[in-house]
Amino acid sequence: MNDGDALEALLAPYKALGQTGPDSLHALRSLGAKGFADKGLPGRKDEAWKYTSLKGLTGSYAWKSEGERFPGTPPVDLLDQRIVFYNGHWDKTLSTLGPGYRFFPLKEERDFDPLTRQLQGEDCFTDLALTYCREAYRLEIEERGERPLGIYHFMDKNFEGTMAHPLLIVHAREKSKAHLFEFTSSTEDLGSALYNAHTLITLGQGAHLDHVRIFKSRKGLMPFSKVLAQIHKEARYGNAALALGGSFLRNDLRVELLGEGAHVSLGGLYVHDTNEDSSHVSLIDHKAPKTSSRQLYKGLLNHHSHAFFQGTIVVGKDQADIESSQLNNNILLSDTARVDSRPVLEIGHCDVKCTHGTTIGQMDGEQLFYLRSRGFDESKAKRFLARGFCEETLFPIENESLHRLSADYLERSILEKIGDGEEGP
Amino acid sequence: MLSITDLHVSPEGPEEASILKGVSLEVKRGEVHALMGPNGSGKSTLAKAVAGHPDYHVTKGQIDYEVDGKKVGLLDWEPDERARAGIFLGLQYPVEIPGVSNENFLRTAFNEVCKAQGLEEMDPYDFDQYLREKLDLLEMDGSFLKRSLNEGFSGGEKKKNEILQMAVLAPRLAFLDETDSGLDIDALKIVAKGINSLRAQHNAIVLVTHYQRLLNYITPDFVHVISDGLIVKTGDSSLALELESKGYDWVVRA
Ligand SMILES: Nc1ncnc2c1ncn2[C@@H]1O[C@H](COP(=O)(O)OP(=O)(O)OP(=O)(O)O)[C@@H](O)[C@H]1O
Ligand SMILES: [Mg+2]
Repeated sequence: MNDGDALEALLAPYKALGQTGPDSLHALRSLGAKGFADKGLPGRKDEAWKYTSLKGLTGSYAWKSEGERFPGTPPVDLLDQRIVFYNGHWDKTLSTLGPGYRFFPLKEERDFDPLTRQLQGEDCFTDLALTYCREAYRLEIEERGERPLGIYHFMDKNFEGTMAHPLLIVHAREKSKAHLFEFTSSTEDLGSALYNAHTLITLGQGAHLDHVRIFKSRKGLMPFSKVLAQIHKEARYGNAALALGGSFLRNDLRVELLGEGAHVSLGGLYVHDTNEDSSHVSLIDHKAPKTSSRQLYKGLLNHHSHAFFQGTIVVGKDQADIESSQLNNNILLSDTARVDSRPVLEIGHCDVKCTHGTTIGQMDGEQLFYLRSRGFDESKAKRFLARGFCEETLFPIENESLHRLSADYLERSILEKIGDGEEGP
Repeated sequence: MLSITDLHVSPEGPEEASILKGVSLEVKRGEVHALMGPNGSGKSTLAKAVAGHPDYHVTKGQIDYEVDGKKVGLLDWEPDERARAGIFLGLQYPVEIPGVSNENFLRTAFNEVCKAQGLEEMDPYDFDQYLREKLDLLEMDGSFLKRSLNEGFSGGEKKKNEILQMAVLAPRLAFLDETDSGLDIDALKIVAKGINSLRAQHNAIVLVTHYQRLLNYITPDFVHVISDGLIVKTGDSSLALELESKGYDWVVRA
């Protein structure tokens, strides 16, 4: 299917729906549809999309306005406090929340007003999410909590040939604190399906949010995950995104630092084996003086796999006393693995400490020998090194139990992907 | 327990010149040997060749090792097989490994060696006790265990950590490559005490060193001088004293 046909197909369910029915979101949705049709799918000339292959996007997906309950057993142990989405819709029965949180679906048009503003100027997949915006969910963080809250996105065979565009709005009150563990996974191989998730985050003054996002999907699912975050004065946001499996992932983050003392730490990791691919695109906009950001993206690519990283740092001309660092380190474990890395700096002020760097290499021979000289066989030595290398990307996560939980997932993926020493596929 | 015969070693690539040009060395159980020689003479190369470093190719000669009463050729053994058979190399420049905790590393290494030698893995509690004893022996703080392997360790701390590993793994044959370099006076005594406590009838130690200092604490049975890839002189512990006062010139030129 060519891009034009895919575009048509992606809009078909929306058009079939027409303007009928009691729906207060018509205006928003038609705005989305228009934006999507105008922009079209990103082409090869678009630098931010050049290395993201959309060839798996068939375009002809069914869209379901209502959700069902998750019929099976969840593929992973669930945290006590959690919000569960099944095939893109909130599964109320599986979700439980403790005190300090409020969670509810939004349905009224006025609830969406601030959101439409925040979503302007994004790419076509955001327009597509608006086109199919029927409900959105709002999570309010009201207190300082230590127990992680799980947000699960499960897809199974019923998701075959469909698309979903879940929209989650997270609002952290002034001085609140929370730890989110978000997990996206499909339990079965699918022919083709599109999961286009958006999370809008606002951190009030002095709020602190740790946010892990783990992606572990099976063949055929195309997850898009975009986080748009606005960080106010003295607030801290830490996000670690781990791409631990799947033939496709597009992980986008755009963070705006809006008040003095605001800080963001982004960790990103891709651990890939044969035919796995993911793209990680971040943009940090220092919109206030005395703001800081730190990014560490790492990749471990085995066999025939690929990843793309693009990190943009923007500092406006009026913003002084900025600190920003960005690092992208990659280890290629085979000749057929490939990575594309692209830092973009748009610095308008001179009082800025900004560092960036990219490395692409092999596993360190001296480190390997050191472990082997202590009795580690080759594959065990590689796994130890891999884990040490990868775990650093969890640096944004200060909460210990969230850190440990994420490290466990990471370790298991490394075990699966860096198997027993065999070099070729 | 170790016989090295006419060993020629060159770095990667067949056209590279040999670093070792026919080294022969016999080490018996219970012995301590000191290996001395000018910078760049091939001491570390010899140690790494015995440990099986993949960058150093043996182009001629052999390394035989006696394990469980049987003599085996080591050349086609992987470095980890050698380690599990009781060969230990204390590196001149210990490597930093971020993200791998010292404790986890030590436990894994210990269990690998145990398994290979037909012993049971130690349960975590017992291992913890065992590890504490070794830390005490070397007067090391327990906080080193929680840190990433060698990461941010001072030069001297790295060297101590090598001896800690040796103490934990209890090797049959240990090559300690300049473990004394970078140690302060007190640390040198502690490390020497540690090494001495590991000295036993059934194992052997080869100390690579530039200084007599260490040999004040650990008396070697033999002292060898290596120069330009060849052992040019062998003597008893008095040779080290002589070298200390006269330098290498007289042996190298002789
Ligand atoms: N991988 C390598 N490739 C090329 N040359 C090498 C390599 N490793 C060692 N050499 C060379 O071989 C020679 C011996 O090196 P080696 O490290 O064994 O010396 P050493 O006796 O341990 O010296 P020092 O006392 O300075 O530690 C040196 O000239 C060194 O530059
Ligand atoms: Mg040396």
